[in-house]
Amino acid sequence: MLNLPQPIVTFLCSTVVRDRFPAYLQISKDGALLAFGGDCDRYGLNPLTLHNLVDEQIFFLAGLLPLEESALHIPFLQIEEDIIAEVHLFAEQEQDWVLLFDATTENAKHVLIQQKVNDLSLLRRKQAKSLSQWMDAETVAENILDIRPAGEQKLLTILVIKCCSISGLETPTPTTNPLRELDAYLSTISPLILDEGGLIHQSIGNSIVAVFGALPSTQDASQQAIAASIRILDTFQDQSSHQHAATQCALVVTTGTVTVGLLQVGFGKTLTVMGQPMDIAVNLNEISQAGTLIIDKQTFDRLDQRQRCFVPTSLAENTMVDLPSLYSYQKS
Amino acid sequence: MLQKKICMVGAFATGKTSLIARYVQGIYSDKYQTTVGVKIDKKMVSVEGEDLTLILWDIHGEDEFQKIRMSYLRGSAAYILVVDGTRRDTLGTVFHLQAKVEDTIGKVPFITIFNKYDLSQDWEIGEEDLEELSQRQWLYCMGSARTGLGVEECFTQLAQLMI
Repeated sequence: MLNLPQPIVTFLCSTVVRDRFPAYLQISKDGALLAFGGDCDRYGLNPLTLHNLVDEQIFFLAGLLPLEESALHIPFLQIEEDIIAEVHLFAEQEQDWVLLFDATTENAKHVLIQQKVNDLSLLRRKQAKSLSQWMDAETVAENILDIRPAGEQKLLTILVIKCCSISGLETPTPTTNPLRELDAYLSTISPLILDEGGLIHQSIGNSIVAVFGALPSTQDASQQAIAASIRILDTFQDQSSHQHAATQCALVVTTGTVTVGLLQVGFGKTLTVMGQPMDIAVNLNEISQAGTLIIDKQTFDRLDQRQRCFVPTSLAENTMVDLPSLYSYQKS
Repeated sequence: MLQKKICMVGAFATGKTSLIARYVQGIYSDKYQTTVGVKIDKKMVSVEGEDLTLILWDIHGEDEFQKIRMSYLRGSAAYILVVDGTRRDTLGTVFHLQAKVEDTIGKVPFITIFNKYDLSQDWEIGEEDLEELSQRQWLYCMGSARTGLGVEECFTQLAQLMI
């Protein structure tokens, strides 16, 4: 056993393993229970009858056996009211094995963390929804958005996302609806931006502009924007491979000082962000390719270990003057 | 007795656990308790004269930290996609998950339930969303684990598709 001395092995067996109340089942490839042992009672695995079909006795195994893969791991499985088991299933040539350990304590720790994450995520969503409904209230802008309605200079990170592959933009056909396609993009992108502390600023044509740093946060706005961008890229890549859809985005992130404030538009006020970082992001986004993430030097300089995922680039079609150094995301 | 495995799939906090609690035990709690891992329950039903044991896999919701392991769905005879009607983005999650599930276990019956229908003032699902489901030829129903609306019918409809 990993070249461990016998006293260590004995110690591990008598403490680490024993304290987790192991139980096992040995099952033939035709589903009959060949043997069982350990603390089966703890997991409600009783009564058990040898040579009878196992999935008629242990209902969570229905459909899982015989194993198609060499092993299957279920970290937390609740079969009894108060007991959570960690379940390992592994295959041998003539039989399958099922091994159970008590994971109740471990599960409780995970639940505590996950509960907080989910609660915060729901809360943030609720707040963002309220914000968009009350954007015209200056007190909200001042107190929640952390900006002065009359305008001020702020260091923000801008993320512009072009939704590529929207079909029927020029000549809609009965089978295409560009607005619905854009809506689907927005539904996918919005929660990812909100999750990372961004604020959807506006949509221009088939591009969406988000700002990071307007909502109060302890995290660096550039890092939040990059985290959101990578999640967006991954999500669309995943969707393309599973749904065989051609949905893709082109993303540009810039960071710098912009003028931000509230501007009267029509009957309400809207958040306004002006400045070179915004212009650069929008213009670069126009010419960037689907599936790419381009960032400027200011954003790059503010990244930590994620800098390794970016390489210097120059856009082939780039005709812009006074352009900062650019970096392109390379998935490792 | 015939056993059928049904998996509940969807984003976090859509009400998968509550729907099962309502269906199996007839109870509901307003307190949101996240699921980590898998909870298994069962219910005996009689569908068109045939006795069935439904083995219900309540799989944790998909989010950034917990991705659904598709191996959990092995051996499923059907699945239920759960959408929180007050969070429209959870519909996007089930579109994404359904494709992954079908890639893993192939075509088996499934139904989409729009849960929390009792929260009409927060409802975010529009006619065009339902139209999209119809275009995809997906079965769907409105439901509420809190009031029990549509829950029994949803499971019964799915059970009928399995036999």
